[in-house]
Amino acid sequence: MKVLVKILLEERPEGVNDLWVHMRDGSTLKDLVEHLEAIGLKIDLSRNTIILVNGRHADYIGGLGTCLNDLDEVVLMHPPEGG
Amino acid sequence: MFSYMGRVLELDLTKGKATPMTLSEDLVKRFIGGRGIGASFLWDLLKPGVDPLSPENVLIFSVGPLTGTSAQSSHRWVAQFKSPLTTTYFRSVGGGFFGAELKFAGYDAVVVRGRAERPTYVYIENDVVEFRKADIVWGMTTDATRDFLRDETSKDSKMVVIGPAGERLVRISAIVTDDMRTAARGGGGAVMGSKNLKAIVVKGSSRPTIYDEDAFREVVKEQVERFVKNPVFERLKAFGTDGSCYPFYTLGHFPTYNFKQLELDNIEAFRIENLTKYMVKHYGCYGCMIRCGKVFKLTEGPYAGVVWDFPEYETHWSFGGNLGITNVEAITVANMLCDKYGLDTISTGVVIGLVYELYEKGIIGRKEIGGLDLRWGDPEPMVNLVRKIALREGIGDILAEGVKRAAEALGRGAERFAMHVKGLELPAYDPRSAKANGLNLVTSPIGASHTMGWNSYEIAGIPQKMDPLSVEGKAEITKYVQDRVALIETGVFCTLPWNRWMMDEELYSRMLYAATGIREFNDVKYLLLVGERIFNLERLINAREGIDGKYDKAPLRIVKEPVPRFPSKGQVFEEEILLKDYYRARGWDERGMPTRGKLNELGLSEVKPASTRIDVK
Repeated sequence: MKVLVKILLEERPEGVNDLWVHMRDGSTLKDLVEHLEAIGLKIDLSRNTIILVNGRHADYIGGLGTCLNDLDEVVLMHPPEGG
Repeated sequence: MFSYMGRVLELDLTKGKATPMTLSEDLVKRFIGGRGIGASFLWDLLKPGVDPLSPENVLIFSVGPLTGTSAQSSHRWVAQFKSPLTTTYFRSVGGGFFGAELKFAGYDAVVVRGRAERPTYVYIENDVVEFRKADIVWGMTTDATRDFLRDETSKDSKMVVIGPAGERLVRISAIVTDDMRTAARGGGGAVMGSKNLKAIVVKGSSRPTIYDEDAFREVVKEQVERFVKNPVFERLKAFGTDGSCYPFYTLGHFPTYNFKQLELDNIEAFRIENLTKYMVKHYGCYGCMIRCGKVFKLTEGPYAGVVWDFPEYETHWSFGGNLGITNVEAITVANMLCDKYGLDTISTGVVIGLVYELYEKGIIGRKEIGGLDLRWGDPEPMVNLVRKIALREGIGDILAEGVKRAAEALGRGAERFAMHVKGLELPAYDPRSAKANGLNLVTSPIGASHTMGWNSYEIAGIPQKMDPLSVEGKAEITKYVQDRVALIETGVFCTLPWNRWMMDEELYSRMLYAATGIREFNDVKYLLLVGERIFNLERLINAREGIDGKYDKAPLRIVKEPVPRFPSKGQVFEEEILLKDYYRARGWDERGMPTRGKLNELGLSEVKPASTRIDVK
């Protein structure tokens, strides 16, 4: 399966915004984060980074244990400023 | 009194008379400043049932105890009045430099009453107040008015002005500062227009005196350190609110196609790396190191050559996603026209969204809208309609009444597609995608204003995470945030640093005590009680107008139509459950009215039901 990862963090590698990541069926968000870190993306899982799976905050749908599905969209971003 | 100027200026436009009055210490202790004292003045001075566009309406401009001091981000000003758009109590907040200058001129508030016989502007230079003819600037755009009035007064003067929209009593018209910051919502521009008041221009040379200079310097130093250390600070400084367009769309906001919420093709146009291409300059309000203001330059297409204040998040949405439009250049031009004519960009975009949808559904035809072909995503008719609304031309004359009245006037079931609460057009947040935010929009005394209770818990997960789609615990958190915002706007602070916890009530308490020496302010619980007192008083002003819980209503689409896109797919706004819980959390009765016990607890026991339309249980 493949998932679309959109990186809205300033710390992303130069020129990388969106990428398709091929993964084994049954992979979780944790597997994806490990994969992204292995290719050089620094992910701070503190309050300063939010991970969304199809727009839902990962914390509300199973955290890093969330199972990913083919064509899921995963977004990494900072908590949005609002107004 | 320390940190206050101790004076309120009453301007009677009918008599052409200015009267300085003393700001009482008791009032300050009860309401602190800004929005608090303004609400209190309206309670005392506004006769229930008056036409908002009549001379009997009262218009108040106020600042706070930290305005004009060395504190950060506390120099905004509040305009309060009975709204011609909603007929409710209203508060609208503006930035720029006007607030600080009003304080330097020696006033904590200005109360405007009556109606001038002819177009007038008021020039306040310290103790000298002049009512001057405004015939020459009447009819001018806001920026031209600013240039003319600076020539007539002083190059250093600051001002609030209205444009042609306010003069024409457009109910969605704004009050605009000389640097194009606006108190946009609720039709304050039309209230000034109805009073024949083109502008209030101020120039001052006083400064507030601080109670404990050393302590205040230390606490402001701490405030600055907290700003700089917060990760949001650099992002707000770099991008303003534009950094939020794409993330908020992803979170189920930036609602598309008049809240139909279909996927928006080319949403990528609103990613920050695309928007920064237009940014050529940063600027800020008085005494704010965030400097979230940006200037856009357009170099290509039909609008090449335009250089103007950037569209904020809300405006990218109202003229963009809301209409299926992703042409940033056209949105920038629409934003410019709103600034020049003096229009609220949110309300203007939403009322245009109504006619786009009515046209799509065949409810209105091309002839009725002056031959325009209103296809979703096409920016040209949108830009055209902004001008028509400002000048009340053709269909613009109906749309200038705001989305609720426009839908009623057009009839044929148009009301179903009018996105408002209490007559105030919805902003760029979908109540179905964040329930506490929705609850705020529905219960706010001024209608659908996001700023009255922007809920960082569920939108940003700060300071604690809260599932936006859940209804549990939303009543309590909505109440807390609304009361907190009422407190913030006593300062008068910008809500941005507070929304991201760069500022909090504990720090505010220490700043207030060091600045004023008022013992009561050295208590966070008391400050939050004042916030709650203000919010309840605003509810009572509405009740006196016959506006109670029956008006706490989201548009039908929000309650009945499930969202079709992620992440809120299938969600509706559970209004009944949420409202019931909210009234309980507020200590209000089932009609949404504060109980006698609640009023006593808040020190509002002087409310006299017999003299008003209020029936307190």
